[in-house]
Amino acid sequence: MIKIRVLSLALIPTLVAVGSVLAQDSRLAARVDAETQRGVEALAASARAQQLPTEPLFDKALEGASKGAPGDQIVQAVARLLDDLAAAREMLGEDATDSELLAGAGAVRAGAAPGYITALAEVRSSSSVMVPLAVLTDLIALGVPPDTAAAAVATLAQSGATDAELEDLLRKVGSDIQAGYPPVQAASIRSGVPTSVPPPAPPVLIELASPVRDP
Amino acid sequence: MVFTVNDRSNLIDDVAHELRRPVRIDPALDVRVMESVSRELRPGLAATLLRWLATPKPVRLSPAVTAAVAASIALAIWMLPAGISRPAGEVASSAASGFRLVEFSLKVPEASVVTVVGDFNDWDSAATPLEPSSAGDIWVVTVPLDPGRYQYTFLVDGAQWVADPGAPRALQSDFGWPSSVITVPEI
Repeated sequence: MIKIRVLSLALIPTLVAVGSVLAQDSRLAARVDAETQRGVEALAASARAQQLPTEPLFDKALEGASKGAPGDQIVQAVARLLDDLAAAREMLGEDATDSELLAGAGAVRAGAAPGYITALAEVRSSSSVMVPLAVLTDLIALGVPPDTAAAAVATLAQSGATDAELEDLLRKVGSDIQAGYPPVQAASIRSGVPTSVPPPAPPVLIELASPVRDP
Repeated sequence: MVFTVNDRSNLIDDVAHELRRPVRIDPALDVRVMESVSRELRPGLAATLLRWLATPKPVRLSPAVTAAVAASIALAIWMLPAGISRPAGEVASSAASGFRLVEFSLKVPEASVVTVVGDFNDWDSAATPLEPSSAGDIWVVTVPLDPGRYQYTFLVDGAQWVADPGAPRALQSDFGWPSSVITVPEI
């Protein structure tokens, strides 16, 4: 006789996980060719092995499929994102959430220096660093030089700025740029950080490990 | 005794008259009967049900059947909607469920169909259509989003990819078409 309750409860998480994987397969299968699907799933398997989030990888593949990109371009884009996520993990630490890792990957791709990403995480050790990293990335996207953007965000974060205040900085800098101000000047004025002042020194220098990939 | 026709007729009339007379019953009879029935049945049913529920029942299931039951439950959980299928601006939030309602809008007076496509809807170009405003020039949709960072873009008339003019651009333009990005902070 089998104790149905115990066995069922033990099986449910496993089956849900299997179901989730199958769901991802079906999403890709309907949108990309078999070879592309295999490539993306191999990268996702590598991400799982590194305990990195896989959903952003599938999102990237689905974006490529939706925009009509060729398969090899999709796999390359997913591989780049995996590299960025792995780099973000190194910078943010093992406790970083999936959202923080994705925001960190964006900051890495935008060109923010690893030491400053780590410094932001240190400053925000008791709350999520997702918004500071997102604001940093978006400032760079607006044309603010990475070092100036990092100095602006890090200075405000160190002074205890909330997520809302950091988002407000982004909005104001964006408005100033639209009004014709040079990005670097807008960021400096709004954050109160002179352009000549370098961002806070990172607490540690980190060497990025090569991400592990399945063969 | 000899009955004549008239006598029989009278007798029948008398009997019929007697039968047609309403029978007088105590008005409280129904109540008393139902109370009595209820007293008779209620304890028995409840006791039986309780006994059945409280008594351990041996269940014999093969591992295959057990796995099938578990798989059914897992499938049901998996099939639950992941959320109603994100410048985008926040219009409301729910601390209880963690999501925020985000409004996406695009001014395209000449468009026939506008959808928003992004990380939050598997980049499905048909999943999240926008509705034209009453003036017809601004297209709007409100989407509940969990905290996180999402890339998205608008698709106009099924062919033209348009980045949100009011939101930051995504730097990673991996596929040639521009995307925007929205950050939904935690509540």
